[in-house]
Amino acid sequence: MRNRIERQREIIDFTLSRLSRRKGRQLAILIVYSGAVFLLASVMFLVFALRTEAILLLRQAPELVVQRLSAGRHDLMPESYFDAVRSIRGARNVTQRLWGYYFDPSSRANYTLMAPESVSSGDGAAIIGDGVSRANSAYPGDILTIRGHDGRLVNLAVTRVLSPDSQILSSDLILISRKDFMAIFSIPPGFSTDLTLTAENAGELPLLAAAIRNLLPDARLISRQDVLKTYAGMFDWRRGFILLVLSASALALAMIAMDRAFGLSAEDKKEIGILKAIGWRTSDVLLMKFWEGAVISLSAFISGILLAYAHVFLLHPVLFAPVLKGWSVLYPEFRLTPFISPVQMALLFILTVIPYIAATVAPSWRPAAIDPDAVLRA
Amino acid sequence: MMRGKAGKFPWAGILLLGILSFSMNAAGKTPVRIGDPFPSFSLPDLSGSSLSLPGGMSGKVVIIHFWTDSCGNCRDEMPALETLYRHYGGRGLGIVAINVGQSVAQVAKFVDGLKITYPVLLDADGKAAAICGVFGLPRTFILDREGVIRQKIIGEATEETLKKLLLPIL
Repeated sequence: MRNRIERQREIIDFTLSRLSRRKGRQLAILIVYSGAVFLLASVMFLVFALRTEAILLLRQAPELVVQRLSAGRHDLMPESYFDAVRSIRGARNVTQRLWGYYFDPSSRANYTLMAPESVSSGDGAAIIGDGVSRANSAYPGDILTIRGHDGRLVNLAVTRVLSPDSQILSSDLILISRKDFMAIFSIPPGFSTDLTLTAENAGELPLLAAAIRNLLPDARLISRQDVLKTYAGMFDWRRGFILLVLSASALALAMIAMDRAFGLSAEDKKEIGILKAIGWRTSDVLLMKFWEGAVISLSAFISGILLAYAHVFLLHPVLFAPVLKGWSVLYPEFRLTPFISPVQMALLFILTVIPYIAATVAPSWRPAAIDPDAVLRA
Repeated sequence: MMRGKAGKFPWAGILLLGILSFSMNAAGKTPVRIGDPFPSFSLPDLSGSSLSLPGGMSGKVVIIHFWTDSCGNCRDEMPALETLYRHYGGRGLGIVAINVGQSVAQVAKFVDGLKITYPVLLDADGKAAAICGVFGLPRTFILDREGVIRQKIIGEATEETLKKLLLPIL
């Protein structure tokens, strides 16, 4: 056992000193390889973190939103619609929502003004999203002025800034009282922007939707799944991420192909012949090649992973932010909660480390297996 | 000549603020909040004389108004501030308007037209605005006699609003 460990140690020592003799080439491979791992890992971390965050946030989203369409356009909903939906068997937690977009010329940003029933900031007060706070350097105690439909200014005292944890969906939010909202947007009493509801039994949601459609032919229904699809589209998972993954994979493959093309040079073959001539066994040569591949690929894997972690979770994913940003001027800061899946890490390891080790060991098999004299003469 | 150039770039001031905002955030500077002492800096006025803030207004309740003439609403606020200045100047109210990112000629023309008598300072490179966390215009700060920020208004402010916020500390 001790001899085995000693043998491994000696081969590793030899491999490291051999690698250090070709610093330039090994460093170039390491940089390209780390870059490929970095890109792959960044995309994986980002997709997984966004998806996890979205799922967590969407748990709070309403099961069903009912809007009223007028000439194909979203229109205000009278109280009679609220009463009609409430009367349907199986409809629960029917709520009238008030929300609307507001363009602020001073910061040149769009805000989403909302007057929820559950979060009452009080008249003349506002709870703002982290993006609104950052864009305006606005904090509790400051006064935010909003120009209403009649040109009158409405002063809103900022009472709280929403937690940055939920900023993907709340970055541009301004929560105000229903009275202020109705004054700003000129909403007549009893009217609302839309309705939200849940089904008494989740399985009955399609039946409930059909009943609403029957009762209110001009209603547009948006389910939580629709919101999820829109959300997915907003971040352009399918096109943006797959493109990035493919380009990163192509880079990794190109790197491996390049290394294999360098492959076993005459010098490498000669070295193997000499090692065999001085008593190395085939297994020793292959072990050396294994360690050579392992040192390079593991170093690239670890550095790529660490760089990707820093990029996605500490430095905001600056490289991918343009792909992820929506139409709003108030972009979320993309400070994502670090969700990392072990399966993801294993997949990344299999995709990046194992092919490289295989590509390093395989070409050495034949020169290591044949007679050293034949190798040296070749 | 300068007027013409500045006129071509009405959003230059806001763009400048955006760039400074980014560099401020990147540098991780502490935001300016209510209850903080107003940051110290000096800026030139239209005649080239320098005024230090808040030191140059010590002992007064001060309204500091950041503006640019490309912001349409600023045209209404500047005369409102003048009315307050004339009314409460004798009781220790000081008003300073800081133009962000515009030329002397452009600012002078705007000010002359409005017959403003309170000091108008020039923050040509937007550095003072960035120090104060001003990333959009207009922005208004109200300082007490010790130079501490008592109110911050994000966006436009009417004369009534300013008066309401001002009187308790005047």
